[in-house]
Formats: sequence, structure tokens, C-alpha cells
Amino acid sequence: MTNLNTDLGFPTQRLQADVLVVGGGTAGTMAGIKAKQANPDSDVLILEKANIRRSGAIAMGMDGVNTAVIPGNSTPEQYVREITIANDGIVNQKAVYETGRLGFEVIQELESWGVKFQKDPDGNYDLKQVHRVGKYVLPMPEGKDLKKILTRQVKRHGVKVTNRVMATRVIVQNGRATGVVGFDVRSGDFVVIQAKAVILCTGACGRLGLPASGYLYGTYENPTNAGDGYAMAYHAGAEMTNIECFQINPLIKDYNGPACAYVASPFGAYTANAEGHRFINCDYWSGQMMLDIYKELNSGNGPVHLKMYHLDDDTIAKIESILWANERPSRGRFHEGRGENYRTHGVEMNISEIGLCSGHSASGVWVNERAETTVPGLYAAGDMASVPHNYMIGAFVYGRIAGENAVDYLQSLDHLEPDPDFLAAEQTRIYAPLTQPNGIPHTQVEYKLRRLVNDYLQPPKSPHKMEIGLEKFVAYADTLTAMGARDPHELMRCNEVSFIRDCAEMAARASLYRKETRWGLYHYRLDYPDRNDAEWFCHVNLKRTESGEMELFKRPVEPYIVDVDLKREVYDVAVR
Amino acid sequence: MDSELSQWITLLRSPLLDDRLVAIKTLQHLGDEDAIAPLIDALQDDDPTVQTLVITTLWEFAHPSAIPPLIGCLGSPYEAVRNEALSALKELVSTDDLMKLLDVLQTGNFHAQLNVLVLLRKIHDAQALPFILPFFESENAELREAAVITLRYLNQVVRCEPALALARDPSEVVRRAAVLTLGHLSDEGVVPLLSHLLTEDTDWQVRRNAAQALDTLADPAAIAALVAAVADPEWQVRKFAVRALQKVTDSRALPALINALADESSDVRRDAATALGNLGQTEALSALQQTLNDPDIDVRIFSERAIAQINQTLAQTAHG
Ligand SMILES: Cc1cc2nc3c(=O)[nH]c(=O)nc-3n(C[C@H](O)[C@H](O)[C@H](O)COP(=O)(O)OP(=O)(O)OC[C@H]3O[C@@H](n4cnc5c(N)ncnc54)[C@H](O)[C@@H]3O)c2cc1C
Repeated sequence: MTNLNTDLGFPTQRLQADVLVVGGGTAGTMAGIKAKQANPDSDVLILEKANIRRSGAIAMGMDGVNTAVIPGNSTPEQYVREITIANDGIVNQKAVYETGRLGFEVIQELESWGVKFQKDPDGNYDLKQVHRVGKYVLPMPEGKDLKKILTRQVKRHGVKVTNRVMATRVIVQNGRATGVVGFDVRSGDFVVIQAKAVILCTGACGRLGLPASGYLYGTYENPTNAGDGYAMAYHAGAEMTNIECFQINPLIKDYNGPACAYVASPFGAYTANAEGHRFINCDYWSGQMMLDIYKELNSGNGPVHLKMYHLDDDTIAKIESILWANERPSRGRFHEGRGENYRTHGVEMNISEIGLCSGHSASGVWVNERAETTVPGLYAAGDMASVPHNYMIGAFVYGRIAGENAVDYLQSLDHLEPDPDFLAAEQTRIYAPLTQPNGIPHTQVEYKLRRLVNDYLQPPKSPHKMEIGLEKFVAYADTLTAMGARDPHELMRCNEVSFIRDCAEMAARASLYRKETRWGLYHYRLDYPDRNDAEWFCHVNLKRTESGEMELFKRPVEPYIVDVDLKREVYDVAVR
Repeated sequence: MDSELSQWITLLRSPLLDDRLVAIKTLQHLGDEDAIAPLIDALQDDDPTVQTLVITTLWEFAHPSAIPPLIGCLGSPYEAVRNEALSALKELVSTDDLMKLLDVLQTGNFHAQLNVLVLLRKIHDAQALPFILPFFESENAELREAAVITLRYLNQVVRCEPALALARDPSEVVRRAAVLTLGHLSDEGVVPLLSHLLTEDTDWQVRRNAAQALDTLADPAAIAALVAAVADPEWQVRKFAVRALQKVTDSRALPALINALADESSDVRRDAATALGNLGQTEALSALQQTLNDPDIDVRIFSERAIAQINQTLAQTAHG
């Protein structure tokens, strides 16, 4: 066995855990805590490639809970209906139902830990209507403290944390997940962790498309989330689902952050065209809404903006204080720099780069209502696991479900010694860029790859373009071998680029496979502009075959548990 | 602030070195953010061990308020302090810190400048270009080298005339770096200059890097130089020249590539086989057949593939 990491001077670290959680963000912290609560004697380890205090999407600034099902305001059944319709019927309702059923308990537990949710003067949760029907949005005035509070709870529960280790592959032996390999992004050490169950919580694939700024890390999503979990689950042999259902968001033009209509619309703000007129009747993010924005932008009625100038001074001051204080002070500076004032002008909006994220849309690693992937012992939760429109509360709920079920599953299992050939091959693969420090810098390689994503995959989707894109993504595997790294931090970036390439290939193949249009702009095909329920009312799943091919197939939609008549209830937010 | 915490913070100013080290370690363990400001003050400690440990601790907190003071440590007279600050900042800096870093470039501190040039690779923002360019004319070869490497990471910069001069720098270390950077630029003079250096530079590493850069650029105009370089005395130069010829396929390379099948380096023989396969000319077939009993297994595998590829090309043209 060649020992590349020792040739390069890096020792191997060996660790063991009963439950190994990869990614210490929203879902991961909860998974760790819940596993420990379920069995305080179990050894639970969270692996985090950044620093758990500040890692993950929450650290980008959180304004509120998007999907709170609170008794007296809405029911899990209503929530399931709303998500079923918003996702054009392609849902496993049982899985969506869990988010509605357990969300309130999550909110109460978070509150007991010190998280503040907005209440009215009578002490009731101050829910806002942003969805088409029903109130599910609950403001969190001190969202910036959330990660700090979670980290404290992780510590209090005795969950171990290893920061700055990037997982690169799941170890699968005898058909089950038995650990993870990766490396320390600070020291470069090779890290091998044996585990009886592995929970992937690595978030979205936020670095798929290239943002308009051209800045690699200027993405809407947390840029640390490069689709690591998507690629790791795929290579472990797990099924992926509906990868063609991209994530695209309405953004403030030239500013890296969401438009925050959720915050502003309950105060009376709305999305308007250049003439100041409404063209959508609901600001809840969906593919259908994005399609209407896309059409408006391309209709001569653009640009589109978030309109607040019709509001009074006090109301605007209130919106500003929420938007600018909550970890996004840069937003205030940004508007100032552009000479923009919410009082006089609309905030110009644009369409974001594409990404993969089940939390916002529906693309992810296939999981059932127990957070199980199709590989025994491998669980997934949060933005990378396929429960649509799950957002933050769904990430917490599924972190919890994964943590509890993993503890249950592993009871009679032992650790397995990893296969030395597998470890050797992984070392060679992971460390290759460090053996050629003068290879092509990762910034160049990633930039070109993501330009290809923009050029060939950005909806509306054209079959010929996607075919070309696919060919290029496949050939790009060669380009990756030319990448060089000068230190372990750059090595992390190089490994991320390989994850992004995997995701791009999956996105191209899945988009070519589903020959219809669905989810508004998310999967808008120019050659099949209509929805075709007769042939495509199903999930499109994909997985890696034994021989390493990417195989695509249809998976039937599970029987509904909540009746929804999709013929009558078409998700439509356009104002006509 | 709770009394336990304030007790450790007070200890940060103890006259005893061990006390101060224990205090920092404890604050790191407690992880209470109220300790951040006093820790930042402790960066002024006289002892470099203390300073280094404080940096590690601030890194652990990862709070943005520590970024400017950490940038201040990049020019420390102590190597350990500088290195720890650099490692921490590699993780912590973002595009928001660009202006602060560019300010440091304007100071006269060599270490600070060198470290900032490295950090700019993390941010890779083209706005940094005008601040990097003056270092191309620095008296100090290390700064010239660092600056031209940093340029390579700025993926939005595609033309940069001043970089060409560095490929003729008196220091071979600078030339080696500059030549690789040229592989990412599209200025008119780039390919002729790289072609010239590939065959004429006295330093074999410069010649090898020139071959690598031409491989990246894959420009047919370099064909003559690449063919000549297949006869370079250094095997690494030959190897990368042959690699570049895998992409730039031109029948003028045929004789050189056939010769390369008998090269003393197995890497060169293997890569030449692939290049011949891509070239797709029947003239190569008999030479390739002879390598099927090459002592190196890789050579045999790639020769077989090349033969198959040429036969396939033949079959297609016959039908077409
Ligand atoms: C800007 C923004 C605003 C949002 N606003 C709201 C809102 O107001 N309300 C709402 O409900 N939802 C909101 N969301 C969505 C919500 O934040 C996410 O759905 C949720 O936090 C996802 O949690 P997660 O655990 O899946 O991912 P994350 O919390 O992002 O965690 C992923 C973690 O995995 C780590 N990681 C990644 N790769 C690896 C690897 N290879 N090895 C080890 N660790 C790794 C990352 O460092 C990160 O810590 C917002 C999202 C964004 C980006």
C-alpha cells in the first residue's frame, strides 16, 4: 500500500464513534444532541469542516422560521397540502408530514434553550402569512444568536466535536455505512473515523452556478457547502432524487443575500414590476414564483423590485432595523453605497445562480420519513436530504429523527476495520493536488467549471445545451487531475471542486431525463414546456451502479396520506 | 461578566509567563465570547509564545472582530507568530476584508506584504490587481515570486502584460512561477514567449513549467517549440512537452513522438503513446506495436489503447 500522506509528511488520525454526524450546522447539531438524549451512553461525534460556532447556513443571518406549524394557527395536514401543491405533487407526504408534526416541539425546545421567537402582546407566537394560504412564518428577532445557543447545547449534552476536518467519502462495508474518511484542513492529517451509523448533514450544494459577481464564494447559500454530502452519498451508493429540481432564488441585484420579502411583506411590502404593479400574489419562494419573475424580467416590464416606498416612515424604519441588524449590517452599507433608500426607490432584484438544495426546493439524497437513505446505517438530514421545502425547522426535525433512529439502529452492531486498499486509494485521490503545488490553482478550475454550469444548465433548459454541458462535465474529471494545492486549506478547496463536478453531472443527467416541465423555473424545459403527469408524475432518482455508472430511473410517488386534488389545485401565483 | 471568567482575564496580565499561558488555555476551553476583547489586548504581550497561543485561541473563536488585529500580526518579528496568524486568517478572511489587506500592502513590512499576497489568493478578487502589480518590480525576489503566483489565482484576470516581463526575470525562482502564471493569460506575447523559454531557458524547471503552461493553453502556435522540447536533456521537460502534444495534435509532431516511444523515461514513453493515439495516424502503428512488450505495464496499456484508437479512427474515415 502506498502511503501518500506519510510521504507528504501527514500522519493518520484514527477516531471511533457510535454515531458520527458529518456537518455541524442546523441539522447536524440537532442530530448530535438528539442521539445523545436518546442514549446518553452512546459516543456521538460531530465532524465539522469549518468551526461549529459559526458554520452553516444559519450563520448567514436568519430572520425567522419559514415553516412553523403551530397549533391554533395551522395543522400538519394543512402544511402537507400546501407543500404538496407548491411542489407540484412530487412529494413523499409521510416525510413532509413529520416536519409539520414535530416542528412545534422543536420550537418549544429551542425556546427552552434561550432562542427568542416573536410574540404578540398577549404572549402568542406572532405568525405571519407569506405562503399562499396559512400562516407559517415566525420571526426570530435575535436570529444571530442561534448558532451560539446550539453550540452550547452540543457541549452541554456531551457530544464530541471535531472542527476543521472535511469528510470526503463514506466508508461502506458489507452493504452498510461504517465510517468516514477525510482530512484535517488545518494540519493536513489523514482522518479515518469508524462509526456504527453515519448521519450526513452537510447542507446544500451552494457552489454549483457562478454568481453574477464572478466571486466563487459570493453565493446565496453558505459557500462552505459545496455539495459535499450529495457527492458522498452518491459515491456510497445511495439514491439521489429530483436533482433536476434546481434551487433559484430572488436576490437583491449585486448584493449577496436574499431579498427578504418574508420580512418586509407582512409590513405591506411586495414584489413589483418596473411600473410598480404587482405581478405575483404570493412571496413564498417556489419554482412557479421564480418563473413569473423570470417572465416579468424578460417581458419589458422589468426590472423587478421589492416595493416599500408606498409605506410610511415608521414602518420602513422597523423593516430596516430587522433587515440590517440581524447579522447583515453590510446590507445597510450596501444600500447606502448605491444611494438607495427604501423610502424613495424599490430595491432592484435579480435571479440567483442555480444550486441544489432540498430545503428550498426538492433536490437531495433520497430519505424516507425515518431519515434513512437507501444505504443501511447512512442517514441524511437538512438541506441535502430530499424532504422538500424543509428550511430551518425541517432541518431541525430531520436532524432529530436521524439522531434518534441512528441510535436505535446501531444497538447490536460492531465497528468494522476499514479496508486498507480503500484507504490507500482515498489517500491517493484526496492528496493528489498537494503532490503538485504548481498545478492549476483551484480558483481557476472551479471558475471554469461553474461558468460551464451557468452556460449550459441555467434554466430555461435546452436539451442541446445540456448535452454539451454533460459532455464537458464528464471530461472535466481530467481537468481536476491537473489541480494543485499549496497547503491543506487549498486542498479543501480542491476536494470541493470535485464535489461540485459530481453535482453538475448529476444535475445535467437528471435534467435531461425528466422530459417535461415542472416546478416552474426550477425545471423549465424549452423542448417540453408543459407538465406531463401521465408520464412524469414520479420521482426521478439516480444512483451509482456497481460498475460506477450513473443510472437514472423513475420512482413512483408514495400514496398520499392527505388528500390533494392536483387537477384543481394547481400552484399558481401569477396575477392576471 | 461572571467572576470565573474575570478571574482568568485578570490572570492574562500576570507577570508570570506560566500564569498567562494557563489563562489563555482556559479561556480557549471556556469559549465565552466576552473573553475576545481582552484576548485581542493580549496580542500585545511581550512573549511570542503567549502571542502565538492567543492567536490560536482567537482563531478558535472565529469572531470577525479579531480579523484586523490578526492582520496586524502578519508582520511580527517572530516567525511562529506570523505563521499562526497566517494560518488563522487563511480560514477567516473573506471578501469583506479585502480593503484592510490591501492597506497592508502599502506598508513597508516585508513579512506582512508577503503574507498578504498569500491571503489574497483566498479572496481571489480581481480588484486586488493594481495593488499586486507594483510588487512585480520589487527589489525582493520573494515578493516578485509571491505576487506573480497570486496573479494566477485571480480567475477573472485574463490579460496582464506586466507579467510577461517576470518570465525574463534574473531570478530563476521568479521565472519558474511567472511562466506557470502565463498559462492562464491570453496576452498576445504569451505563446511566443513561452515557446522561446521552453527551448532556450537555462533552468530546466523553467523549461518544464513552460511546457506545462503551453499544455494549459493548448495553442497550436507552440507546435514547433513543443516538438523541439521532446528532445530536451531533462526527462520532465520531455514529459510535459509530450503531454501538451496530446492536446495540440499536429502531424509535424509525428517523428518526435515516435522517437519518444523509445525514451529512457517510462512516463515519456507512456504519454507519447497517448499523444500518438490522439494524432490518429497509421504511420505510428508499427512503432506502437513494438512497445507492446515494454517492461513498463503502463506503457503497454496506453500503447494498446493508442493502437485501438488509431484503428477506430481509420474505420470511421473508411466509412465516412
Ligand atoms: C442566506 C440564508 C437565509 C436563510 N433564511 C432562512 C430563514 O429566514 N428561515 C428559515 O426557516 N430558513 C432559512 N434558510 C434556510 C435554512 O437556513 C437552512 O435550510 C438550514 O439551516 C439548513 O441546515 P443544514 O444543517 O442542512 O445545513 P447547514 O446549517 O448549512 O450545515 C451544513 C454544515 O456542514 C458543514 N460541512 C459541509 N461539508 C462538510 C464536509 N465535507 N465535512 C464536514 N462538514 C461539512 C458546513 O460547514 C456546515 O456547518 C436560509 C438559508 C440561507 C442560506
